[in-house]
Amino acid sequence: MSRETDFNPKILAFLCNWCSYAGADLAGISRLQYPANVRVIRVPCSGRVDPFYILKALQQGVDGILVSGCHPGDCHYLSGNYVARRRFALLKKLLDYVGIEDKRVQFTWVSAAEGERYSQVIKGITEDIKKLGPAKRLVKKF
Amino acid sequence: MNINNSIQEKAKELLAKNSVGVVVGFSKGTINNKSTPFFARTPVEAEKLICDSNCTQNLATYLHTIERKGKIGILARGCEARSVLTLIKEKQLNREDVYIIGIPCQGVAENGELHSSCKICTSKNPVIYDDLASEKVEDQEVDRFEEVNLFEGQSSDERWSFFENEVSKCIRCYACRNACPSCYCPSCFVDQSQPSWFGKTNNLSDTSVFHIVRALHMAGRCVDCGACSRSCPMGVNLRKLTLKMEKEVLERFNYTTGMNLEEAAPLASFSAEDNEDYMREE
Amino acid sequence: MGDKVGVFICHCGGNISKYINMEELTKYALTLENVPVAENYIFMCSEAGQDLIKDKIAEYNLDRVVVASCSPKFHEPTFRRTLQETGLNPYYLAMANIREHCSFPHSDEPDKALQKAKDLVRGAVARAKTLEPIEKKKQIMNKDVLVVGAGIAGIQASLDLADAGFKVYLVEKDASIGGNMPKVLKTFPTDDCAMCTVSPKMNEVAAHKNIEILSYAELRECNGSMGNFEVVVEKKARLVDERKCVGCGDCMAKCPSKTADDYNQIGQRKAIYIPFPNALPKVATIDTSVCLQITKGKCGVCKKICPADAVDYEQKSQMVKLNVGAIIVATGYKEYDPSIKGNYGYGRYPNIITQMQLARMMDPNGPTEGKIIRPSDNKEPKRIVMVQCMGSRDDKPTGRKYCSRVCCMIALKHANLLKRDCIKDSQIDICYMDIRAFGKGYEEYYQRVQDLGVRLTRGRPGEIIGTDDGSNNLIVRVEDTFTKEFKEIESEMVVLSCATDPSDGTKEVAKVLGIATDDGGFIKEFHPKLRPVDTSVEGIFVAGAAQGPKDIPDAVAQASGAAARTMALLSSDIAEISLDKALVNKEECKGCDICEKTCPFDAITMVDLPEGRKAVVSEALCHGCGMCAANCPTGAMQLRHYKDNQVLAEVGALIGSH
Repeated sequence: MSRETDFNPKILAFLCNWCSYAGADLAGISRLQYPANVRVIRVPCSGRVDPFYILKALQQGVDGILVSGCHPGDCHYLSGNYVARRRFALLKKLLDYVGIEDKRVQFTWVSAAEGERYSQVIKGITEDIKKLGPAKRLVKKF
Repeated sequence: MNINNSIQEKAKELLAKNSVGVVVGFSKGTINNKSTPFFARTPVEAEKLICDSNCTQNLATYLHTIERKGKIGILARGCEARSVLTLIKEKQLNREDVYIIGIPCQGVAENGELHSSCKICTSKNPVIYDDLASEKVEDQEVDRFEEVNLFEGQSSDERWSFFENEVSKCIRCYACRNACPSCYCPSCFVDQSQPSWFGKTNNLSDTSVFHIVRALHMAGRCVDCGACSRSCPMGVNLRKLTLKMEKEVLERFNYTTGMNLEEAAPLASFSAEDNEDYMREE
Repeated sequence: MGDKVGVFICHCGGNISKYINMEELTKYALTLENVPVAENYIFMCSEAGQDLIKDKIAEYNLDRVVVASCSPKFHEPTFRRTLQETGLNPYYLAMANIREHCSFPHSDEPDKALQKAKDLVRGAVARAKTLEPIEKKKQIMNKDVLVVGAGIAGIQASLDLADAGFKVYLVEKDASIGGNMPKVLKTFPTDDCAMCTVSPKMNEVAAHKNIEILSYAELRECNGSMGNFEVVVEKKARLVDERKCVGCGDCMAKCPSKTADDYNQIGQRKAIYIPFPNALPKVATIDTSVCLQITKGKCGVCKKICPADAVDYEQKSQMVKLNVGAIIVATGYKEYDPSIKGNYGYGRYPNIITQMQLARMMDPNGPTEGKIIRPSDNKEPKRIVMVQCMGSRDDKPTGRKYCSRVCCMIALKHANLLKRDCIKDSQIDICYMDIRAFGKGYEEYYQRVQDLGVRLTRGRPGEIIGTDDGSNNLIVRVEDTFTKEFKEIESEMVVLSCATDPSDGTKEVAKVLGIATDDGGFIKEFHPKLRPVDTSVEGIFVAGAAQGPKDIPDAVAQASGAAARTMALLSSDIAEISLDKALVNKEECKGCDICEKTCPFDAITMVDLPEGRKAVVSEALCHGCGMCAANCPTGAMQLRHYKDNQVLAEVGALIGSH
């Protein structure tokens, strides 16, 4: 067996309650099948996601992270995702800059109506992380 | 008139008239070629004030801790003036609480050489002041992001090994934090114990996260005075990360720290048109 | 910290247990630290299931509860109530979504589904241990209601509420109340006169002592929460004094400036106008975009001629502040703009019109005084083709995926009226995908129309082109999917049965109120089956076509439903607000302002206290998004129920490094 198929990555997804979490629910209700690698954390808004959560997860050895909120303009809290978008831009660029692999941490928007898109995103990120291999950088050794 | 005389004259006058209760500046240190921060509270003490290339600290840092009795006079070079402006913007200080003696600056030295932050300085003259200690100096035109751009050109593996190597030098003494006027949280996230965020030792992963979070906290708030890197006993290249944040904030949000009181800080505002180039594409 | 967590795993009658091994999962849960009891049951949400939870709470003296079941979107409120009934704080509940996020999407991989379910349960247990009690704040309930949109749904909801004794503010952005219903002339399946039905309702609303109409007004701001909303409504300047104007229409007769008639959607109206004869309030309004006095500074004819001296060019819009306990959104729909579809030629060929335009032509009080005429030559068309699903049931980016529900019946109604009353010797063709005549009496109506000789072709036309003989006739190209025959139907006029779009006001109001919308831009209901008139925000309800395309009987029924839900809410004298809101640790706050500047609800103010400048959160205004907490540089701001340690406990457990 090749390493790639052996590797069963653990991926965390921070989903906003109103759009992306509901989109994930819709994917389930629609019985869309996608890889079982993603563990979801429900947060009220993508704006709640502190960059520190992402760093902390990377330290604990997660192989991939997804943050998804409402599409710009559709935030349940009006502007939570706009402010988050700025914060995430800086985090993402800084992580790339210090050498964390580009696809290790990803950001996207999924609406409550986009069950199909959610399943595509999960398939996509699982593929990406499988290609990258297990996370090593920033992982805390105990 | 030499600049130190000018500083002393102005400080003396302010203190004599009780226009300010203190003037924050520098005096000659006890070690050769080292100056030390000095708070002049009387006209006599004002005669000790100096400002030269050996004054390596950012004086704005002391505005957090100094006893606030009456107005505070402060010497402010280009970067320090931007720090003061940033503190005013962040409501840590009222404009009318400070009297700024602006000092057009030719840079500070480290090991007999112009410090790296001063080499790419484009704000030698204070942006905000009540009085100037000398004529303005000519600003240079320089590519501030040459180093960042070069680094970005390296592979992700190369960047990681550089970062890991820099971080591995760090002994978590937090001199960088103490030297920075924009570091003023009552308790730093690395010290909080309820809940305890992460290890207090110099574990490589924890230290890396410290440096990443420090850089993120500096985004839109760092004026690249270089005080952190001059204070670091281990020679960690701290500006590598803060300069990257400066570049991103400028390119994405068209914002330069400490230049304008009215402009909203980049993380306290947003635009519907903000760039999403970093996001996942389907 | 909780140290006795009970784990309750639901089979969901097989929806979960068919794919995930319940016994394995239960055994696993028992291996987790601080989990003295784990149970599985066929329906945890049933009364017996809830009793099981209650019994175990008592038996094991549990202090936290994990339910692994369907999405918390469905049953979080149910299980919170269960906890509350045992005396536990309802927020001591954490849920693991092992249905939508596990058994459903991984039904092909039971082993992986089981592993994921274990992880999700582990995450929920870790979170549960960190949960803190959330108390409720009690406020006096304001019993007034704001109804936004005065179409038939808004009117019905207002009347129901007002009759029950509640004070209603009815806001309408147009110059007159009434919405779309007065325009449609006749209503299916009875063909009775729409105006005769709606006009008495309009008058009743205007005369009702408990209803205050704010017409030509728009909702601008909304703060607060269920029981205590503070809203700002802009009463736009009509440039006509409503109290003085008698609606005589002299000004309209003399006004020299014309513009497209947005009410009739054909023909023109004057710059000063009363949209239709039964308008209410029956007062004139000046369209400032075309009024010569406003745009050029010279004219003043209406002011000179007005017998009541009602015209006031200096009139300014007014911001009206209202306090209400509940809000009903009834902002309605608009017709889809078919010019987006280039291949159907709307806007390019003059003799292609929409069903709404046809309805306006049929109206004896309408722009053509009831005559059906071709826009190109004002002649009566004898051959008419109707095209269904114009923009509906269409996957393309220019289309709408949903069925607009009413267009089949509108086309049948118009075909019926044309054949029976307007142009008896006409030939009517309807090109359709499926005829959806689902309502009471609709199928029978459909049969009658077929009996009249209206021809039905099953097929979506590929394109409509003009003939090149100068007749301005049209050729509809369609494949009959029954006979597989390719047809070209020549017609003198084509009528497009356009999709139903949410009105512009629906989108704007959703934004102001912060309520969720669906893919099509309609207001999203809290639960599609069980709470169909509740929105995503407590105390805000939805009625009529703002929630999705619907016909008049459905809109009216839903409006009465929304009114009843509102009354149920307002029957309590106390509004309880859950305090799962932002919280400031004053010792850590440095008063930097970033939270105040970014809070979308202005819920944070900075206050100068003896110990310094500090952020203060208004619990009534805070919506609990937590943006301030993530933005706070010092960590002083936290969101209750989503505190850093609570989120990170779940993060750590899900990764499973410990």
